Amino acid sequence: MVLAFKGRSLVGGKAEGKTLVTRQAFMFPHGIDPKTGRITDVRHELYGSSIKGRVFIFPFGKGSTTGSTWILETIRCGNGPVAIINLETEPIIATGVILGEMLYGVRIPVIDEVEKRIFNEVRSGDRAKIDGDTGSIEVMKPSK
Amino acid sequence: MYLSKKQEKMLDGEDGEGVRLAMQLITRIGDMYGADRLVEISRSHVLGHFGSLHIAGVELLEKFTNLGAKFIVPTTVDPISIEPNRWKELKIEPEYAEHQLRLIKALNEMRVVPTYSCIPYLIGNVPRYKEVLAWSESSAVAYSNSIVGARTNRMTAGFDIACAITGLTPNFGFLRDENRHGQVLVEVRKKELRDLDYHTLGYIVGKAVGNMIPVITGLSRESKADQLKGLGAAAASSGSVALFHVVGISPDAGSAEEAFGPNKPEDKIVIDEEDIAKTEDEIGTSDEEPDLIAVGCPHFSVPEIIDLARLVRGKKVKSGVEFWLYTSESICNTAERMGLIPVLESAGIKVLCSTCAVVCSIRNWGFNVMMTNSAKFANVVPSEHGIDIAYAPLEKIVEVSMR
Repeated sequence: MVLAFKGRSLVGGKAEGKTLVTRQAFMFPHGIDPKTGRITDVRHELYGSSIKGRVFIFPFGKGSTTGSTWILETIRCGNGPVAIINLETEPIIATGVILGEMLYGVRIPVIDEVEKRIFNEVRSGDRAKIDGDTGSIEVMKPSK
Repeated sequence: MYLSKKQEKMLDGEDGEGVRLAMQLITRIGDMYGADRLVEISRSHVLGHFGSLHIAGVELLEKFTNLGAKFIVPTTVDPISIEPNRWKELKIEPEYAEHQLRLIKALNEMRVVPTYSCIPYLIGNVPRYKEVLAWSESSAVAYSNSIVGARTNRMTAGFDIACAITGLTPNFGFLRDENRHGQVLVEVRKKELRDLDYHTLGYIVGKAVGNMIPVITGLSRESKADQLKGLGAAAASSGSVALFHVVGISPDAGSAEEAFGPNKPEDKIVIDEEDIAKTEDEIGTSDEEPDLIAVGCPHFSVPEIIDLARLVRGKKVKSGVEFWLYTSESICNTAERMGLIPVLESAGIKVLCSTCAVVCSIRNWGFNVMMTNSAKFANVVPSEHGIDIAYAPLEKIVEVSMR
């Protein structure tokens, strides 16, 4: 079964990978270890998971204004997600992603204003196809 | 987004490759967030601590300096991850210090005003009403937007640098008057607030409103700058508050009606004496004896150092306890000339300049419990350094840690 979702294109490009989904706001500063991509925020439900290579779906960011370089360092270390999908992507996250492209040539599509139902219908581990140019997301659910 | 002829030339590289790179970043973000044009900024405040910039941040700043970029507006900088002259004494690893020193060098090459402090608005980088800024440091953003009525978005590492290099920032978000009206009413019902209560209030407000704009009533118009800086720092840390209105204090909040403008309050929160006492208890995570005292988040001002010196005169920090005070070099120099630093040092207090426990690693000390009068420290330090927090007013801190 394939589920389709729409959002607003913020950073273009295509990506494919397994999803990592949370309904909780996500904190990059001190919330992730850039050297591994693992989530280190003990208060977060995804504590211990890795964002590396995943289509990372979370509602919005939180935490200090240093978030951009936490994302950038994660990208530099080769541990970034392959795509980011949010309800609201604040400039802190967008800056990290754009700098990743400008400094390290890594393009990570970003889609925001995604349909809210994605948080109900998609589980971590589902495979997803992202088109950052059109803001469309396809999620392949395993048939029951 | 509209660009003037001159701005188009900057983007084409006429003012050098550094300006071109900065313009590329700024225009992409402006387009993303629906900015209609770029506006000039009068001053800037940027991040430069290795603890959060990492090697990628070092490479980014060095890329700008290699391309010959310079800041073209007065640009101060946040606390850094080492005490420049005493990092060995503070158990910082040489490799970590080395990276921070590279960041300092890059910032100096871009002609930063080397304040290394989170309170630029008290030490010379002082904006006025409706000045357009591009500031990082969430507590300084909250203060300049809310208490001064200047206009700034919550910038971030890299984006802040690009704005300081071009003197421009995209016109969106909190720069536009229509996005600055209040959204949530907060009624404070406690008279005679102590200094710590302002921190606790900020913590409650931030948790309750997230990134919405609160309108706070019930605070004295005579609230001190240091109390308001504590309130803003706590709200920006427990939530993502970049702008709040204090009725009677904030320039756009002569009344609650004025602060809300065309908006209707989406919610109303009442905070009474009992709520403040309850939250004060919750912020602390331990009742054990502290082995580290940390004050100065945000950085201590001269009046706060005067208060502390009065409390500790003739006393001595207990053995087995470290007592650290964080401030800026310029404030420390002033306090030194006032004869206050010797009072603190003879009481066993370490006065640390240009850094703080949020941006500097203290892991190598093996502390168990940090006692502080800062709700922001209390909020950030446990997740960052894995130590417990005791939260108390300055008088209590002195009572517990000194004899």
